[in-house]
Amino acid sequence: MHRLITAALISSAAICSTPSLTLAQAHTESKVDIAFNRYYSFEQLVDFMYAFEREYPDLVTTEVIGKSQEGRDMVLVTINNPETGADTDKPAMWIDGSIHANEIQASEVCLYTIWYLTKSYGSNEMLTEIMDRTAFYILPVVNPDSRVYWFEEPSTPNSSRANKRPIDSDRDGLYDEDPPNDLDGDGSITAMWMQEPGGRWRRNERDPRIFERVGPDEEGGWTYLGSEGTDLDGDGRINEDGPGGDDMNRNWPGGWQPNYVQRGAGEYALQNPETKSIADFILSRPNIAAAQSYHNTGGMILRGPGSPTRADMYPRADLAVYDELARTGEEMIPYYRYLIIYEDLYTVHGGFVNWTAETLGIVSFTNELWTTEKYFQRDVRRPNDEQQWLWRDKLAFGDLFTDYTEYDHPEYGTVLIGGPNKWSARSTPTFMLEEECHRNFAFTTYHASEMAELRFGETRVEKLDGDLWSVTFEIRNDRVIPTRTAQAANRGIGQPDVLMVAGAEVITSGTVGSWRDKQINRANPAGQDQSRLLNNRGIGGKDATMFRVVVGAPAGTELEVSYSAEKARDISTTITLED
Amino acid sequence: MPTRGRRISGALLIALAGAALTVTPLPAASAQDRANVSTRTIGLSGESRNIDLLTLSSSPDDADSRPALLVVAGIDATHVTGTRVARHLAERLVSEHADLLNDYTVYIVPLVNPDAASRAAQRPIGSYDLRLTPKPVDHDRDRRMNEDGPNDLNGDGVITQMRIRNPAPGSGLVASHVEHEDDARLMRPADRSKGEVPVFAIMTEGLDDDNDGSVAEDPEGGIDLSRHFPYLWDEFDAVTGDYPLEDPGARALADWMLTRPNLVAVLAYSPHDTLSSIPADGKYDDTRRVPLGIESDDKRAYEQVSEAFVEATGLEKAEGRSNEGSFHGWSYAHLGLYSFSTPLWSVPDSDSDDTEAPAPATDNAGEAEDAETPAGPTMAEIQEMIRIYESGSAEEQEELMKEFNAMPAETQARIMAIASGQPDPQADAAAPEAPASSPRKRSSDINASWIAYADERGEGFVDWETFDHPQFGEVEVGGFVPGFRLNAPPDQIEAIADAQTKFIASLLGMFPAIEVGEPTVKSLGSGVYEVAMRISNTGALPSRPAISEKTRRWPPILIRPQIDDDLVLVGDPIERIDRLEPGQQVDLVWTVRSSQPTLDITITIPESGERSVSIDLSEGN
Repeated sequence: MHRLITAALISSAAICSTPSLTLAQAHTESKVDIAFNRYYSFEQLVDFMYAFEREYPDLVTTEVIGKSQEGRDMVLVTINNPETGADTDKPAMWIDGSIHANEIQASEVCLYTIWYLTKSYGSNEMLTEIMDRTAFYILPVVNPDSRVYWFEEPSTPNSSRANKRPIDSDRDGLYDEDPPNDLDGDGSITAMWMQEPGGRWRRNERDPRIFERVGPDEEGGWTYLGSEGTDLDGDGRINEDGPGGDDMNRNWPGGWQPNYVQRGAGEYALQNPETKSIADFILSRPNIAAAQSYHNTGGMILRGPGSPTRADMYPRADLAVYDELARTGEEMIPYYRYLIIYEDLYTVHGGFVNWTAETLGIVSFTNELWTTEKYFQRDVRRPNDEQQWLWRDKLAFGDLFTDYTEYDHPEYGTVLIGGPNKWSARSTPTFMLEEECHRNFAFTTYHASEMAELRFGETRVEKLDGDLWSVTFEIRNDRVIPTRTAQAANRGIGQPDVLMVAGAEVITSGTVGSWRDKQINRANPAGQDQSRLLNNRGIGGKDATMFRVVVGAPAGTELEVSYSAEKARDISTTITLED
Repeated sequence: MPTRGRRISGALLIALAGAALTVTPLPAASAQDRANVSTRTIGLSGESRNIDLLTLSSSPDDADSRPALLVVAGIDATHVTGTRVARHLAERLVSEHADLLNDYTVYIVPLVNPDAASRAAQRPIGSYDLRLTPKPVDHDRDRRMNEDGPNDLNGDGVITQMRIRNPAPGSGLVASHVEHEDDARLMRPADRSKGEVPVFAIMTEGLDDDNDGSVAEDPEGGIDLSRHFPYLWDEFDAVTGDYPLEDPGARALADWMLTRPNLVAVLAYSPHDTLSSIPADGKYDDTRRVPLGIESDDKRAYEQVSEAFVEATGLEKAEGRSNEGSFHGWSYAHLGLYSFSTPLWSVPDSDSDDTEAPAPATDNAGEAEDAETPAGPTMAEIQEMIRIYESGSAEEQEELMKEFNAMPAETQARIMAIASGQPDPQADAAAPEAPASSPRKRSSDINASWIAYADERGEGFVDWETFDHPQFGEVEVGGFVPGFRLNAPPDQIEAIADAQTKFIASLLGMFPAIEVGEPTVKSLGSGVYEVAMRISNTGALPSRPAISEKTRRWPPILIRPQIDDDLVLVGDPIERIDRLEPGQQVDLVWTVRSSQPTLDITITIPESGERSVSIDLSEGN
């Protein structure tokens, strides 16, 4: 029912698009009208995905790749123009969001990506060209249960990060039996304060909403009691066993470590239905060459490794690729910095982009969306309390704050409950959301556009003797990302590229370093098939590999040459043997 | 002298026993004993075969709330001995140790890789592909699947090895080995540091089917489940799976274990050893947290168990594989359980007295041989069965397997002995004599011991014979029969099962035992009481291994006075005990305010469930 209503709204919006706007400025409407100055529930996001499939049937397909812990659909959107080839025959970009469900705008950036790409196909030349030679797999919500929980149940900016696999956090044999409680009914979990002698906090004289610590010799009078809640399981502790779960961004098989090394890892890699469904999908698509996993917060373009023990999994050639992409990204998204997870942030074992980059050879980034530097867009790295209140009062008009109210608490007696609510941090302010979506979408689309695209470069045919010919040709990749990362080549990940030559007997074959080289680096020993050459190193980024084959055939023979790579479109050509 | 032709019992053993694994065991147990065994399926393999779990308990309803030992076999399906012994074990335990099953539960998963086992009947028998699940894998990463498996060049039904003397330059073959100085049938790598020039190229018996210069490098399958568990899993190997526990059977086993807090210990029958020699202690991976062997604080417990094992089995040494990705390593280092593994069998000590029978692995081996042989099929019938097995139609073979599986273990062993070219044990109950000319070698090389043993048995090694290879010219084909060095001969299965039964009985006897003492009460006046209670471990092993303090996988022992926490003046309303050393006592004391005549205290022990004691508070007055 809900879906029908949304669909009706969407189609009426499409009909109402006004021609006068077009007169004012060339503008491309989407057939799925979405405002990007607000956030959407999981159900709304899913409805939008089906609407895109309905409205853009030639570009969009949806697929339920699995179910969440609580049985919700994991809906994946594929964007591909089948007229230029199947998605599996093109290099593909994986994009996901909200593996940490409290990092909500990650899903809106995914949605924006679908929205912008679909409406641009056929109307914007650059994006049409990119979409014709690549495919996109977009999973806006990796963690549906916890997104639903964050929106519908009382939360903080930081809660509902994990999934909802029940865990006995306080080891009393009961699961999730003492969560925080929204005692004041404002939809958020805020703070509890109590007035008592010896309290180490006081209220700021000018602005009593601000609690500040007192010095060692001062009397404060207020005690911080932690976040809002009661002792539901009668063990004398409050909020010590909340809902869920595993930190699913520690649950991937690349360098996974058990819980006592990596908190939140789960019992084993891909234990969770969400992570396993995604892994099975990604493993079924070796054409995925690039990946972006959106998170918040901090304004970062992150690459692996997550752990210093895996630094050798980013060979020099791959680092050049990461550096070029991310440095361009820093220019595209102000206040975002290009950082390395373990060096600049903290150690992560079993992270998603670590798995995709290090185990699967996919060029992968995590963007940490939003940074407090964007509040004032000046050189304010961390706004102080007063600056934050200025923001909440003057720009958000008080919407980010719940006034303190008295509450009769069963364990503590009279307490004050209130403070900044779940919207007060981490999520991009709604009036700035569209820009955040657009810049990140643009960076990720640039990332996708740099997946390998092959073509034949120069070809030279030389007659050696009678029916003996030497044919030298280049296979070029004009993009930044190679057909195989150096990590993939070094560790034997995936399958090597293969060159096939048909139409004439191939006597010997291999590569040469330059046109001038006289000797061939033979690929296969004599006696073995010379017409099929495996190329484990692949074709580098913005580079070419030169192949030479010596064939025996009469003049005028047409040589059929084809080249196939897992992470690029296959190419083929015909070379005529003639002087 | 070395064996020839059809004398390939190691491989036949795999074939027959592998197929035999698919039926429910316990042919010889009485109906009453059988009542103590329940069988259920905990999941399905990749090809939808059942992963069976046997539960041995005097009270099936309470089985899951008694301290339990889990025995797992058939993770490596070529280790047929493990599955066969596990199968016998169920029978022995219910019929000989029913008393133990009043206090403990023994779970048995006899076969984790039934898909590979079901391929055991396929010929030729190769050693490697049988270890793997059927998942398609491009082993040589040439974008062609399964295009270059091994080939049985000499038609003897087994894949052995090929050696090529002085391969020609330009052939693409590289010599690496020389003949062993003690026995020219054995190969060893040339010692280049001494200027030794390698003579032989050595490889698996086969053709270069895909003409890529490598032989038998892309066989069928799959995942090697013995390297497939999450512990120190190798993510860059073709046969370890795309991710750990990708195989549904292995995953079903793991998921079932995670739901069983009554598990105390795990015993794997697999080609890893932690019992004849205990694992190294205090060594860690590069996170410095995950033990490569065991925690130093667990060394004593492992030594204790190892002593009991050696005493019961006589197996003082065993060859072990790396434990990366192993089931037993995972059970220990990630779950925090006592976890042991034994291959059950090792190269018999051929340095012992020449005149002895092939070194029995246990003291009981002689008994099995001396036992009265029951009447069974005639020699002619057995030979007819072998003929059908080797050349009959698929239906005939299947029918044969059913028949075979229904036979008593002794008869099965006898048939296999005959099939492998040994004298009929029923006609000649005496141990087969070692060949008179059996060469005796003193060598540290384990293969020298194996070949000596093969000579004693008159089986297990195919002598090198020249073969005209279509690609390489003259080669020699021969070497150890796959499975021979891994599996005990069929006539020793019973004896090994006896020894294992003895070991398991003593292991259960060492299990931690949590005793809950009678609570005491003292009135402090005005309705205030001091209540005290003692919890102790009267078993021989700590209540949990030391690693459990890291993994914190299982709930602790929980002790809860059933009273509002506001009324507890002193003491924790929930007491938690993570670990108790043998003989350790922990006293718990609470001061409570109560107007009730009694106070209930619940004690939850993960291994044995919840109980409640009631204290009469008036006794404190």
